[in-house]
Amino acid sequence: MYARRIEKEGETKTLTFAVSGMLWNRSLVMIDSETNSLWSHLLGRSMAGPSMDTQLKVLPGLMTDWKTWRQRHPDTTVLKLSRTSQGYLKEFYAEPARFVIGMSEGDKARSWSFDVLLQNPFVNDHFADRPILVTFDDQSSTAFVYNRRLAGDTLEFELKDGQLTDRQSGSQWNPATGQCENGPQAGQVLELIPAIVSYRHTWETFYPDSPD
Amino acid sequence: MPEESEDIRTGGGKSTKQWALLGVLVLILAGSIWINWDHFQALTTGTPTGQDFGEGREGSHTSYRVPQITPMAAGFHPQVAIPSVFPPIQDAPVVSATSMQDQSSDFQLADNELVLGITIGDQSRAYPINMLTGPQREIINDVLGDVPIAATW
Repeated sequence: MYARRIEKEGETKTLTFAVSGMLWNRSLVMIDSETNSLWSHLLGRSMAGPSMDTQLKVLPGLMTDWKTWRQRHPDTTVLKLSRTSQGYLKEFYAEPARFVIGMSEGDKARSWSFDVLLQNPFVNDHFADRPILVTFDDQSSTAFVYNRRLAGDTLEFELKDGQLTDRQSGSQWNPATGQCENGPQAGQVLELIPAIVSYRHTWETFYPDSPD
Repeated sequence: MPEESEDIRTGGGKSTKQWALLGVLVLILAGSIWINWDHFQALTTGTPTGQDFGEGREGSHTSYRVPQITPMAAGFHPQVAIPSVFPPIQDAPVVSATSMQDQSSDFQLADNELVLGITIGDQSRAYPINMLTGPQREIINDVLGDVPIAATW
């Protein structure tokens, strides 16, 4: 999920993207109508044309199932087009070792493999100097990356009595919604951080030095 | 499937000549798929034939010339998989989840369907992945809460 607004040499443009018909490393290459430049789909970076080297901003999109999304956002709107496939159900992740959730910033990249997250579904981690919580919900096969900074504090999470709990206040959190449901932080919501779900082999092709 | 194995079993009475002909046909088919692999993949990954594309604006833009794009970043080696640019998708229709709760609504999503969701300000939108496949559908140009976004996965 990308923002379509770019800034290049002090000028702001809103781009319209299309499928170029080209692949790079077997991954989609996008083209924009306004500058006629080519963009790597996974990197979100222009690789050719007048916009070359411009980086699109990744937005905090969440890959999840309809049930989980509706639970998070009962007032959501939904794209309504005909289905071009039937197969993308949560069972798509039946082989979790083939999938990662990844983040990149500048020349840094990190990914977390779904099979490792299945074993250890609450990871207190850091990326690009930001404290993050990487969690995995087995029910919906959803990987979440949350900001652990909340109102100036850095929270550390642990599983306590079967509940995701922060050590600082002992509050209990719902990992699927990011909401605090019990304790001093009740009502607070963890912020989703932009991350991309990808096939492991694709991520490793584009970010060969990305540890996981 | 049971029907297929039945076919194989009842095929036992075929003559050597018939088997040889069948073999040649299979080789020709496999060869043509191999030669046109990229195109075949594009077709099998969801290019719909004769399907409704929805009401979004699809089909207005065909004016780019792809191969002459310069400058090009070092290490960028794109390959043409399908020799045409697909028109951008804009203004695709959306509905509210609350309107879908009405049992008479003709549009429903299953609980286990994958979606790419995004929240901007107080607005949320879900893009069902089953509507974002096939080469022509992989990017949706949209605007949510005044922010122009590209939904793609």
